[in-house]
Amino acid sequence: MPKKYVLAMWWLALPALLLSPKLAMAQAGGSFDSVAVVFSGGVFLDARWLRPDGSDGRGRLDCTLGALNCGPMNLEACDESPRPISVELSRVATTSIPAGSEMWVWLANSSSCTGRLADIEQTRVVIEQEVLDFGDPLVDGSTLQVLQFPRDVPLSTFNTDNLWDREQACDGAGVTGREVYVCFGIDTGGPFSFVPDGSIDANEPRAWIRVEIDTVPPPPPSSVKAVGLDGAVRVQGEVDDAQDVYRWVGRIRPLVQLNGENVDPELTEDIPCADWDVSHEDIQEGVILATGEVSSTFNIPATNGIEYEVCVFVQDRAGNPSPDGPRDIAMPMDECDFIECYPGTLTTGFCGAVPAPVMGLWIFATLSAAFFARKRRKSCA
Amino acid sequence: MNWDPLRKSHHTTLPLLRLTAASARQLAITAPARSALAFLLLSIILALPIRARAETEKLPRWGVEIKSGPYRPHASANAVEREYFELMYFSGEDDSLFTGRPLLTAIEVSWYLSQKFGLLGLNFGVGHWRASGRARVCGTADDVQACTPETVFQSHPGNTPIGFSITPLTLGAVYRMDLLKRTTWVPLVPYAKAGVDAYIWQATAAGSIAEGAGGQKGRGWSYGLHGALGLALSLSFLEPDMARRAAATTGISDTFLFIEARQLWGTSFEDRNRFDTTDRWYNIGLAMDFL
Repeated sequence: MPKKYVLAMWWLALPALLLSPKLAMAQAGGSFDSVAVVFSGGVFLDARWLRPDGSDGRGRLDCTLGALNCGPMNLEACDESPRPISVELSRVATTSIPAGSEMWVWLANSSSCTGRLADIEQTRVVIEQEVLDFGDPLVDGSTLQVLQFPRDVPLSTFNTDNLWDREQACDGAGVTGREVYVCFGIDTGGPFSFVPDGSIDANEPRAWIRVEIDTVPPPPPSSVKAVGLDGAVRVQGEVDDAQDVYRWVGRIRPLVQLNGENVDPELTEDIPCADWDVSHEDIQEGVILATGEVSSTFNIPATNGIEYEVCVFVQDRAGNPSPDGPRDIAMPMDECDFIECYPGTLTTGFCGAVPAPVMGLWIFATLSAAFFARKRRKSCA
Repeated sequence: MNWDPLRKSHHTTLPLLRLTAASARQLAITAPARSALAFLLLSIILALPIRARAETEKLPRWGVEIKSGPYRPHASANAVEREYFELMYFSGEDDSLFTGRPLLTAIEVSWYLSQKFGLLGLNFGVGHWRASGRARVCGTADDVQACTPETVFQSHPGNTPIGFSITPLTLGAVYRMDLLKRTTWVPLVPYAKAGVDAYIWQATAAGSIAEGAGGQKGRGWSYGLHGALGLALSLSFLEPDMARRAAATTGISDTFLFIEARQLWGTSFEDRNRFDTTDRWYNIGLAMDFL
């Protein structure tokens, strides 16, 4: 496009751009590419996640960490009963699986899912090997067959407890940011023999799913300051190390005198604010995504004239809450800004407010500039 | 190289003499005094060493400048409204460089349509200015009252941060009298500008647009005219060889430091209900002309 037209477009667009509603500025957040469970087609074999799918109300396991519907393997999962896992395995159409092949399911630290089964036995084996006889759906060589797992593998007991060492993850020091691969491999034998040879090689069907486990909470905020604004409480918090911080959460509840009658226990319980009931009408919450900075400032809606107890904690991407930061107290009050108390009449707004003479002058100047530029180019030529 | 000094000075002298004579007549200076003034001016010009200008020396086609200076809008023709504006944004702590006058910073781009008798062209610019303060609280700590336009003058600062920003958009004509620089060794370029302005203003509270009763939003715009006089110092004289290389390789014709006095008439042509952005704005800056 000729340069003059590009310049003309910018010239005409400039007032529209500057008079338009303010440009939305996206809140800076961390990376969103971390997932709790991801699937791979594998080699000659596909694995598709079926359950848990979130229908049990405990969030999906196949989710992006940080998303609201994510129920990763985290501290909260430590307090819950194991959830059954279902994975659908599909044979790629061109893959031939002879009768007598053996299928192994085991946990690994990488997605290669190869190795000697004798070595694999030393690691955590999810189920025993299953001999696939001729006639099993996966073995049928003519069409794509699906092996429903664990339905078609009756000896398996496969649930979320098979994915981690519960004692290590929940009662000990915890596990942070650990990736676990559930490998499915079919030992078909070698290229020259169809007798299982006790190893899963690169040319044999295999697939995997990845699970991320994180049961270590981030550190608590080291300082919290709360200030009452007009209709809100402004919270400023700091942490010593922001590396594992994904989200700041601030909660406020009215400061109730304990000697009063009919005191609502929800407002006086000395419990971590991560356990406060945010559905209570008097408890308000404010959330902001972390920006990677060690400090964060955000507002929580509040009612003027009420003194509030302010509590702040942080969460990592797996949703693990930190211990509470120091508590503070703030009271919002009615304040008057420039527009609210203006002692006169002030014309505001943009729509319909552009006087015709001024807009006409702008258009005239634009056309004049284009005319003179064109005339100048002709004279130069 | 053209070494005809009389021919070169002719381009400078005659326009200046005509301008001087016209000004003298307007100011009702007597005929003998006018003659003396013209003689004095002619002597100064002829005494200046004439700079030989290469025939291949190109004249700039466009330029860009960035400038900054203290500014404070008039706010209103009404004294109470002016006092209110000062109460909101200039009654508390002031850490600005010029007390009570935060810096207005602007960028301007000029296109030179004629280079015969100096540089004459069009320019447009955009700037930004901001003042900040605290929302006001009326009543006492134990008995907070809602402020009114009457009681706000007895208020004290609250906690909510408030801000007022202005974005001026300018469009106008520019004339740079660079004949002196072209034909002599004097590296000064006086200039004049005039044009129209639009000012977009915005009042915020706690980072959001302030809102009044009835949903009135704290943003709007004003408009007006401006006129400016300035003096630019060409920096090419410091390193002439480098300046010539820059012109040949990057297209930078010249670089200037300048000072400017600009009168802003931002009354929206006497619309008293619009925010008044009038002020006399002194600024300094850096400019570049391009081939």
